[in-house]
Amino acid sequence: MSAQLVIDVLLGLILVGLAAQVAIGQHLFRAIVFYVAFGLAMAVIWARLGAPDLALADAAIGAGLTGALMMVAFRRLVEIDPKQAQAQATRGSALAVVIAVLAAGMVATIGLTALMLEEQPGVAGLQVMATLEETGLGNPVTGVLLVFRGFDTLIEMTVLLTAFIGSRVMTTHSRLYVATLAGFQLPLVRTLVAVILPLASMVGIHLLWIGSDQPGGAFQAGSLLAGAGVLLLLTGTLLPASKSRALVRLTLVAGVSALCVLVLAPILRGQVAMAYLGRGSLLFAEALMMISIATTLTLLFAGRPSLKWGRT
Amino acid sequence: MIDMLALVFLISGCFFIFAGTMGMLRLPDVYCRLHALTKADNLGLLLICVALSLLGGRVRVALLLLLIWLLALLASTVSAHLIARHSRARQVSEGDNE
Repeated sequence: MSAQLVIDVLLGLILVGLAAQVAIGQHLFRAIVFYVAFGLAMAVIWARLGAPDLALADAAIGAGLTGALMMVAFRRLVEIDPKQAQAQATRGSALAVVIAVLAAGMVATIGLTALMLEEQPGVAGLQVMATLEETGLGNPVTGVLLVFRGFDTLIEMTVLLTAFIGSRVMTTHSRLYVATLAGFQLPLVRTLVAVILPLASMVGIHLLWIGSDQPGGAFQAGSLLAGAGVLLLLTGTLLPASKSRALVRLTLVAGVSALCVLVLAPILRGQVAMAYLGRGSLLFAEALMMISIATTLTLLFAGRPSLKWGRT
Repeated sequence: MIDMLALVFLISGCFFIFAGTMGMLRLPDVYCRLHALTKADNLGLLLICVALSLLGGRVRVALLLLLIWLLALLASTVSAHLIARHSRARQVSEGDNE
């Protein structure tokens, strides 16, 4: 057995172990911590599978932002219903075992089938690689996301917007706990913000800019900026505001609108809908998507419809 | 030669991270654990970054790794400080209640 295989098997086992800890963990908070670790392990595995785009996205969204969202949700649960938050998980039911066995069987079947299949000529992936040159893009992931499967991306952005609206509908009447770090005014924390914020903005815009040719893109850039937004919220530089603002609403719908423009604009020029308009149009759409993603995720963390500047 | 040097750095880096993890698991209270984690792990990370820069063989890679180490250093410093501060504040308030 080669060393490479040992590492792969080990990573796989770690992933399954972490997933099991998330599912059967005794305590809610423990499960959240294990979920974050699961996201990080997943990112490492994506990187090893040669998918840096997914590794970036999983590290930023799966481990970072989802973790932060679940932590703040847990903290709010502590405020609302302390008993439920501290409750030990009940014993697993027999139904869960059956579902787990069925799911494992399904995954094993798909995996074995995939291993036994011979490589088919003319499958979608190969066609994408063949036609990628015409689009002038260097990163096939960006090509698939915005050129070949642009409609899926439009729906993804709509899902994000719908999720945000759903969370607003659910939380209009409850007073949510506002997460602010104890000791946010300490010089040490202010230094952290002063160093991290410009760096995060720079890396975010860099990821957006190189996204057409190298790993990166709107989702990674947006979630990175949302991470900076969460940091600003935690340190009280930004505060959740109850009164919705036109600017915030505009940034929320910017991504979906940009993709709609990308879909409809070719018609005005006499081409079919969703025809490819060139790299500039993609950068435009991705920039607006980045802003939308960053705002949506930050507002989900804030739990209010808007933001305002706080103490500095 | 460079490979051997990188290997030495890599193994010593792993040793320090292992020691930090052992400290995290074995030491009795929050402060000792933070001490073990932040000191040993950051040194371990530095050694691993040095090893990777040697293997990378380019100044650009080395500088990026240095930047990563500095960011990890900053993040762990601040979070360790905040955890310790929170834990101390809780101890003091619990002491008042007794």
